[in-house]
Amino acid sequence: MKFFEKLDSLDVRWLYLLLAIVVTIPFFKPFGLPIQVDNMTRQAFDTIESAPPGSYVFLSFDFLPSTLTENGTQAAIVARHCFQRNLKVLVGSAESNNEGVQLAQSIIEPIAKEMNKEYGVDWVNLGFKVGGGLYVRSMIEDIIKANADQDFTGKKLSEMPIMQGIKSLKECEILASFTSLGGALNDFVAYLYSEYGNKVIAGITGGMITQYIVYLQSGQYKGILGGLTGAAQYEFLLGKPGKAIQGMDSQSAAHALFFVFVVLGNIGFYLKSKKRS
Amino acid sequence: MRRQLPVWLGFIAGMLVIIARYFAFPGFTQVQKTLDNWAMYSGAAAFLMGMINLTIVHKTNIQRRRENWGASLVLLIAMFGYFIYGLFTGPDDKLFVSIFNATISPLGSAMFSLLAFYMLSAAYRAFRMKTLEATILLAAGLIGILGNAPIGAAISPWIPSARNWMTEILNTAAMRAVTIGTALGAYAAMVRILLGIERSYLGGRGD
Amino acid sequence: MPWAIAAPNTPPPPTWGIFTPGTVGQFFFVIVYSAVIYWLISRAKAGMPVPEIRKIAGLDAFDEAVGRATEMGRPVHFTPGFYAFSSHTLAAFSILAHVASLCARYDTRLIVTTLNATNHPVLEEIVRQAYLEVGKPDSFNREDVRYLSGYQFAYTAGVVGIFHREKVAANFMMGWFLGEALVIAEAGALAGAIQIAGCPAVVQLPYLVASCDYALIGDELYAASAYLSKDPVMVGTLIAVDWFKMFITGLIVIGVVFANLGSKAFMNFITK
Repeated sequence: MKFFEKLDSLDVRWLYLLLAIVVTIPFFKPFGLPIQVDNMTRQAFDTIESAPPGSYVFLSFDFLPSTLTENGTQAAIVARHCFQRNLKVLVGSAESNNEGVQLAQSIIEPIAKEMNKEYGVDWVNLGFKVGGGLYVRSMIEDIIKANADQDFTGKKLSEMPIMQGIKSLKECEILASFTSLGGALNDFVAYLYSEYGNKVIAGITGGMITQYIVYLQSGQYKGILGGLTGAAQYEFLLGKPGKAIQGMDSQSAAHALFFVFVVLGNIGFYLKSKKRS
Repeated sequence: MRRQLPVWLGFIAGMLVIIARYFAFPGFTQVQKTLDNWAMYSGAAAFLMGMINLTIVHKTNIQRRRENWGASLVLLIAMFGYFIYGLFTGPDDKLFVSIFNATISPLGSAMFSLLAFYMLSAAYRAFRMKTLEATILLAAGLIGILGNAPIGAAISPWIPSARNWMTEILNTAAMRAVTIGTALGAYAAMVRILLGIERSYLGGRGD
Repeated sequence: MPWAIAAPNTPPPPTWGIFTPGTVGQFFFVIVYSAVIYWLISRAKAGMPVPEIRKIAGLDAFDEAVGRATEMGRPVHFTPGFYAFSSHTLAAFSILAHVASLCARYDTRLIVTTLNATNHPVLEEIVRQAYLEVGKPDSFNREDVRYLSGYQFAYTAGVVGIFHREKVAANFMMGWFLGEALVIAEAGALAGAIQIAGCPAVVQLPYLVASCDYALIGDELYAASAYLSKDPVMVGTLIAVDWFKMFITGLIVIGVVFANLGSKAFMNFITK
């Protein structure tokens, strides 16, 4: 009983320290727990897998550096899959997220180099443009115009071979948003899926799954990558283990700690209320 | 007049956008595009407004030698230094990107990672079997915690299955209900604002 | 929010006269809904009775929260969330007007923070007006309405700092929040503040429910200003929301029946 009383009045900083230790250990000594793929990740994988080679994909980087671990790993593995399938990749931020397009450059560039994909031919970074939903709407009219004929570095989009095969965002086979914000996904569904039937893939943080899974069931999304778990499952499906699979053991350890403390807290609470009554 | 003008402007702009949403009149599409452009320009102007606001506040801090005025000085030097450097070099400059990667990225990630710690303390405090409803919430939460990482499947294949069922069936039903309610509530609030019944957003109680 | 409803794997709907494709069903819904709201407003304006609405605990606790801060002689904090000038921000502005009015009346310090520069002048004006209306324009301190940063977690760090430095006793989080929701709310809880949150982002609700004393769920945020004003004309619009929730429940039941009979007629009608 004394143990539980002490636990009840425990300074939360001890909990924080314990969590930090538990999360760190698997990086040095991985457990190698098996990865189980769920339906939403498989749908996302199948959607990219079934896109005809040469078709266009818009990868929207709508996250901040804070969720780089989740959204960044998702974007990296999806981009790799797109390049592997010889899809033409347009990169930007439909949410008008300046940091997103900078992160996009540092994530996509090394993958493209590794896979011998040429900038301006196989992929392009459209750069930062203001407007959010309004930016999406203007790209449905004309991608080049909406981006003031400039890519991330200020080069002319109209002179790039990749832009010769596409005029409007509605011609994109797939639109994917890697997001901690959610706005671009809503715009893709409202302006593109609803009106032109484009396929939308959501790369969202773990906490967002509960809200966004609704749109997968209604068919408005054609796949979801949920948090680091989603990225790990995708890496597993593509047969390219990376940072996400590496992080899964840490996630398991953290979740186990949550479980233990919630259970202990409740035993203490039960004993305390029994003693009181 | 000071109160009437914004209400009328709001009503006209709101109605134009609503009409343009439902009707494919070429004229309205043009009007909507113009309004969209205005909104984009004002969004861009907001960045500048933010800089001006920060400059005024922190300049006052420095001038009056308030507590931690040194931090205000650092902020102004960092903000204007990075801004001016970016203006001259462009967004793909190596140093420009490196500064961003070396500061904003780790700081942002560090703040976001606080979530994990706060989640633990919040869950530890709030997940208690006080009532039947709280006990159901607790059980669902625990299945969710275990089922959302490989450890769940390692313990039992039932855990991820139960978690998926809860997420896809129970959660979806609740989410749809809340989402529909929110959409209806938001629309009713917008009608109140468009009709000028609710004006407290203009300042005061809007009388 | 993608309010548009669509069936799984349906092709884009065909054009229907002058309507934008896929919006016909929505348009008629909006027209009927608007008409009902207008009818209820007209009834209330004519002095006819308006049905009672249910109690919302989070909104009833506003006085308690500001009162507690007053007793303790510590400030109240208010944040209107992440975005600028969306429906939820406007709802937050209306709530701020009420909170500022309470703070001005009780002579309690109110600190308002935002991460959106566009919001800043509006927030300042709302608080200034509130002090003006209770006849205490000199008590208004311009520097207590603060734009902290446009960057999500820099703003969050700023708010957490304010909680600790200023010993905030009550925290109002009204509007759309993202990842910063739990960080702010838990920092408030650790600082011992009484907290009321209202957030239409369903993702953040579980965190806010766990960390805050009261949470406004879904449409309660939008109902707040009408509920707090107790003005029958405003309250009338809330009745329409409840009626339409029942109406949509009916539509769902009809949809289920049609779908189970293997007919797509109803689905085609509402997604036309």
